[in-house]
Amino acid sequence: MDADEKHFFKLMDQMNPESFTSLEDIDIHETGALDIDALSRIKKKTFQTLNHPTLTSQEPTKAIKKKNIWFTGITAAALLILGVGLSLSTNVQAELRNMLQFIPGFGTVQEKSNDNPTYVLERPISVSLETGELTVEGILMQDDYTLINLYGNETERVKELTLVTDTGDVYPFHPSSISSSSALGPWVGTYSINQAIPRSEKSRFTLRIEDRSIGPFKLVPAHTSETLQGLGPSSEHNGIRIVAVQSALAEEHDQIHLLSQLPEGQEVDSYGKKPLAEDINISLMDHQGKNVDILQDADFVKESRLVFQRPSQDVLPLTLTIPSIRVVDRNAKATVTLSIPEQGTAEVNQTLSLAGFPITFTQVHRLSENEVRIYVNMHFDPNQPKTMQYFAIDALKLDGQSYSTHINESSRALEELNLPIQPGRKSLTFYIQDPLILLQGPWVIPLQP
Amino acid sequence: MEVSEHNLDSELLKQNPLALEFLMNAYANVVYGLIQRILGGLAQKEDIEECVSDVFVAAWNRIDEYDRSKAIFKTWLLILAKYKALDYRRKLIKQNITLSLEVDPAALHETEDVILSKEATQVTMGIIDSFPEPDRSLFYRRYFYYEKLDVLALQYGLTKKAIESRLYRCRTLLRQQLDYFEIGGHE
Repeated sequence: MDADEKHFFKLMDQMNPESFTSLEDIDIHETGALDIDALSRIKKKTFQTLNHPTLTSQEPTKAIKKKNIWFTGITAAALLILGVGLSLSTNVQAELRNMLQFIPGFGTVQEKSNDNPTYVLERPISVSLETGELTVEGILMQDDYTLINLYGNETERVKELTLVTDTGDVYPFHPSSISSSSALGPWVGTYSINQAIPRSEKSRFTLRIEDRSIGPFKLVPAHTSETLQGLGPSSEHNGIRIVAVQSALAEEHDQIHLLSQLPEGQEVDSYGKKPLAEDINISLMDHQGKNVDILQDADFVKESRLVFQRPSQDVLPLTLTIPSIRVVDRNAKATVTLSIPEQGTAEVNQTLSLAGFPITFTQVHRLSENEVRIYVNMHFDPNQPKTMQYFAIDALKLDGQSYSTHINESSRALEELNLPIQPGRKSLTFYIQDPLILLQGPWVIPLQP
Repeated sequence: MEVSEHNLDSELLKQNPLALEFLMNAYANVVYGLIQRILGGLAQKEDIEECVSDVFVAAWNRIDEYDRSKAIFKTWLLILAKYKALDYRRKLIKQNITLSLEVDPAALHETEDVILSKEATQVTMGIIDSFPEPDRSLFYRRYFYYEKLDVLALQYGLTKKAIESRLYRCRTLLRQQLDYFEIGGHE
């Protein structure tokens, strides 16, 4: 913990407890630090303090009595990959020991840590409410914990729910996280329980949310493979493999999750659902060469997830073509210092390298005593195997002031920066990072019919 | 009557000891973890257990203050635990200072019982609540609940470096806003 962090720990410690209003959706990780002897001592002391006899055999619920819930917790190993979604870094890949499992509804891959199958919800279940719609996007049931993903639109956020087994056992779930774009907008929530739930392929489950029941439904063993490419059809280009995992979404729609493996520090920023540059975007074609529309994204849809209307059988199989992908390199940083005229425009033609790509700062124009415009040549060429399109400014080093950029409408390459400058200064230093790099494909993936 | 998550608060309000038993079975682990993180290396195991017990005693005695419409029960309990742990920490620091020959001025400062006004707290929370997710959750989980960076990285599927970077951005934004409202002061 550095001094800066310490200051904020202290600030949060000084918050007035009577004013907390918005922590209800913040859940925290259970560490499993408490052993059964310590729990016994705590119970004994608590009952003694309150002058109550210690209870030793009370069993609150049928479900809870089967397991010492204070011992359970989502293990770090099991969560190693869960949530990464878009890409698997090479060092994560190196840690994979045996099997990979794709978890529908979460759009993620996880390591299979033991011989007991992981059960998942095969396809989402949507229910219409009096106002809005609620979708059970995914369920992940492991040996000692279960996660449920809900998506709500125009409906109240769900604060708690229960899972009921076909034997009548009831398991309460609590939110691990709930995110929404606005108070009344769509939201996504993840709910968890750190407890074993007996299950098999024959088991039927029902979700209860307030007075509404969803189900009964079955869970199925997760699709498992020793390798990433074993999870679905794939294509490799210039050492990067992209895997398309296809699954049913609803009665009339299918979805594809794209997975890829990139070096440490790099992430896929875009597969091209929106054009990466003029005419560079992902496409889905049927067997007759006709385009299949990829549907517009709703809020919270991952960049790696493509949703489309299921075409008729006679035009299958479909082919997914990814002409280029855009990758962000989190490791790349550089410092720029430019001479700035007191007024007017000056040629600078200063070139430097970021992540191995050249950037030329061609001109600077003093817009006012405290703002400067810098013209940039990114040397962007989408016909090259790799080319840089954009970079970010480290805004934290701008002393709290904002900056803006202008990109070319056609190429989407960065052209101008507008940066703050102190009055009277004749040079400007700023810090650039997170380059967006276009990697040329194509990755052509024939999908399974 | 059988106690469950659904009637836990009402059964505690009726002073049903089965509800207290249920409460401890269900929440002792998460309360213990939070208190252990806040007390850090200051406390012995016995101190932590005593503090956890005090939280359940406080929950029993103060259940009438719990308002279901304002927060889920677990959040209410964790806030109770957080402030109980801070009380313990102040006491432990004072004890350590008394026992130590060399008094660290910073440690003395830690023992000050400073609480922001309700208004300042609301302003601060308002700023934090304006952070986009997952930054807002990350900020609360790190600085309010003292969660470790490694744990957050695993839970959010991000690298530790990415978590640090997001938190740094949040701290900078919060500092700028608080400067405007003249809240919080500086180190």
